[in-house]
Amino acid sequence: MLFNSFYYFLLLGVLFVLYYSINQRYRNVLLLIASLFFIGYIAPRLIVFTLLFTLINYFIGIGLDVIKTKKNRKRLFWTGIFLDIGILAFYKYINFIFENINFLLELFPNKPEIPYLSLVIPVGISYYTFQALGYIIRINRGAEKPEHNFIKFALFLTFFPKFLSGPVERSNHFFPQLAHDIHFDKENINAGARLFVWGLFKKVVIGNNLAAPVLLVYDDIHQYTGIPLLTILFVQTIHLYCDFSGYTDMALGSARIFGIKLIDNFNRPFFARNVGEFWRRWHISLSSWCNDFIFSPFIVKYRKMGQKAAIIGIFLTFFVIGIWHGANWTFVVLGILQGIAISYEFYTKRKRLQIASKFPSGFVTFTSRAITFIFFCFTLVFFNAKNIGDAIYFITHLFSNIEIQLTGHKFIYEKFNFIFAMAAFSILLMIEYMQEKGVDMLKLFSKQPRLIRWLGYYILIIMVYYFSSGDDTFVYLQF
Amino acid sequence: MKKYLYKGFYFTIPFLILFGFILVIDPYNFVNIFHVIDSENKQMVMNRNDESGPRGNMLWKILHYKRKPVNNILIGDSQCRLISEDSLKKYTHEEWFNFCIPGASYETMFDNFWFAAKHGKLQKVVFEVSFMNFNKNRSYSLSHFARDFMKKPYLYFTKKEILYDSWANLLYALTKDERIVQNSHEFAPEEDMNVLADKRLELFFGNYIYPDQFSQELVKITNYCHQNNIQLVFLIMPTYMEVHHYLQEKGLIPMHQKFKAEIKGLSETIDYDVDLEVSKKRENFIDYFHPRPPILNRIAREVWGNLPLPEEVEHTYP
Repeated sequence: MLFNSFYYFLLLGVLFVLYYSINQRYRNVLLLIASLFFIGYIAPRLIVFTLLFTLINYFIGIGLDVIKTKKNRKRLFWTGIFLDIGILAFYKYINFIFENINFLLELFPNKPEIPYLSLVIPVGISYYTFQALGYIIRINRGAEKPEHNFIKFALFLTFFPKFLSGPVERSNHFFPQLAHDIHFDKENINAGARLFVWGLFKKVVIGNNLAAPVLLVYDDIHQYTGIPLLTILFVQTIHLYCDFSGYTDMALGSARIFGIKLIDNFNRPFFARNVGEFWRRWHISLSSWCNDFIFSPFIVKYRKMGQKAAIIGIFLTFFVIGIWHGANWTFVVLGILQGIAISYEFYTKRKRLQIASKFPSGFVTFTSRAITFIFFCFTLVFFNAKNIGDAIYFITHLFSNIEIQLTGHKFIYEKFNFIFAMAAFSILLMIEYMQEKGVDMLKLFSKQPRLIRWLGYYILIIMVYYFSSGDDTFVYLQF
Repeated sequence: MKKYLYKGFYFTIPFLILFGFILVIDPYNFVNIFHVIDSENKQMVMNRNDESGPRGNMLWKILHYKRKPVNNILIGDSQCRLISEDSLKKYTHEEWFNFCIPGASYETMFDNFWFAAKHGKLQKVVFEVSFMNFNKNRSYSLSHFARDFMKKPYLYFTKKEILYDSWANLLYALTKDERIVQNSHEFAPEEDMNVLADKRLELFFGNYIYPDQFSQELVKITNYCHQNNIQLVFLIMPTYMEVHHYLQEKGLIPMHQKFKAEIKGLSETIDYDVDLEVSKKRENFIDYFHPRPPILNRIAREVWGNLPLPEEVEHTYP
């Protein structure tokens, strides 16, 4: 049940009426039932798996609070960590590990081979595993008390708007919201619905229309050189941003309708002036999770190593971010490239600031943003390519056989849709630019008379309707 | 909350009007409650252009066959689409259902055959087979255009194509303006048609791979028909001689012959794709592959009616 499907709209509508009609004390139960229904709709067996996973983490959380001996507590903590990571690794990485072992085994004369396992990766596992890990780590640190109410805890891991593709929610952000009664709040519901429609617009009108050429080129990359590759280099970034941030907006909007605010994932990433800042604006819930639970503890523990600890910490963090996306060396390279860039920024910060001071600030800001954007575009080649060879081909053939011609490039079939999507993205970028400048565009829009506002919504919905094809998926569902 | 729900209701009024519009016009008789526009009008509108034709015919024919299955069917692609069921009934005094879909690939035709076999009690099947689609690279199915709506009926109200169809139906019913329904290749000017015909040669045969899987499926269908006492006749329609020249030029004649030999080895076959007088005149064809209605009517009379088959036509049995 995708967010842009009719059944999801139906679920939201029915749930909305029920949620605000029943007594406060049953609302979490209702949300949990709806979440389990949502999961069961994807695959009924997934309910059992998710509930088992939830039970394990629920009892580990309580156990960490109940057990007073340090040694036993430590044992339980590491059992929890190994269990969570073990389950994730088993489903997501075991065949990747086997593949690499088999590659090494080929060196032996009789070439033994480990058979691959036929596994179906449970949807959303990367997201709720990280959420559960964060919860256990925080309890172990004493930063948080465990949640004794199983309904609330299960809702934390299974809440349907964030189940499939995040955001990677934090327990200390989620549980306090459930501690208070959630009242019918018109503003909340309007904001949620508005965010949902906006996300739908980004996904369907921009993301979907840019998906076709990106998929086409990456599907048979060796057919292309020059202009098509150069175009896709930039288009893939816009596509991914609109697809994923569109999804996130829909998730946030859905949750907000029920009075729950989830962590945001994006903060105008294309206005970042360096790669470090970029990762504070892109997939924020994941990068901040890695910062809090990998990078920060690492540099604290190895602070005696000085700058080296920071550099190793950066690489370790981005290795995890990379491999989190999937079992492929391309994702490892993606992470390492980010690590190299941030380490470079770390070492050269003073020098770069000196150089920048000699130029007008506007020029520096523009150039920094452009360089950051182009760098990210290049690294995304490793995100989209099927393997390292394809990624290298992409990069090395960017400037081969360049023919300057405006039409006739066969990688864009639906020219109107493509141009429309790019135009819509330009508007989106302008809105984000204004927001970056401190103009509250949403407030401006909200102040308009109802007729104007409704007209705006209708235009968005008509565009979504016009460009919808009914069988669209989301890029980040695969993780 | 009541007030809010009312407001939400007001907001959705334009969408409700839209759904109501589709419900009343019902361009494919999908809901089949209101019949404000007659079926003839709807069929003309669904064939208004080359985009609406394949998907429209697919949905229309699947829906109508499911509602009223017929024992005798003509399966095929665009080559036989214009053969009317009424004329077949006149010639044979039996009900026939024309299951020919413009743009249909072999997969689509196979899907349609199995659909008909599942929902009706088949007695006679005329299976129009053409070499133009008998190519591994022409592998796709139009069936989803009907299947999607069967699985998710709400799509009928939410797909923009159905809205366009409804709108075109209303416009055509009110104005009877032929420009609305005459945008398919059939109505293209002669010079454009020739360019299109050449392009189609390239499309069908430019990248040719013999499709063994199609042959296997045809064997399966033949066996099914024999086991169930269904009379199966393969019909190969005439094409303009330029097609043969092109096949010669591309070295595809052996493939063409292999195709025909395989078909003829399966069941009774009527082969019009031979050295006929008809095939030598460009004006007898819309493009190089589609005979014009007078030729089709004549073929229908020869195959189903009492007119004898021309001598050159090969009527074979395995």
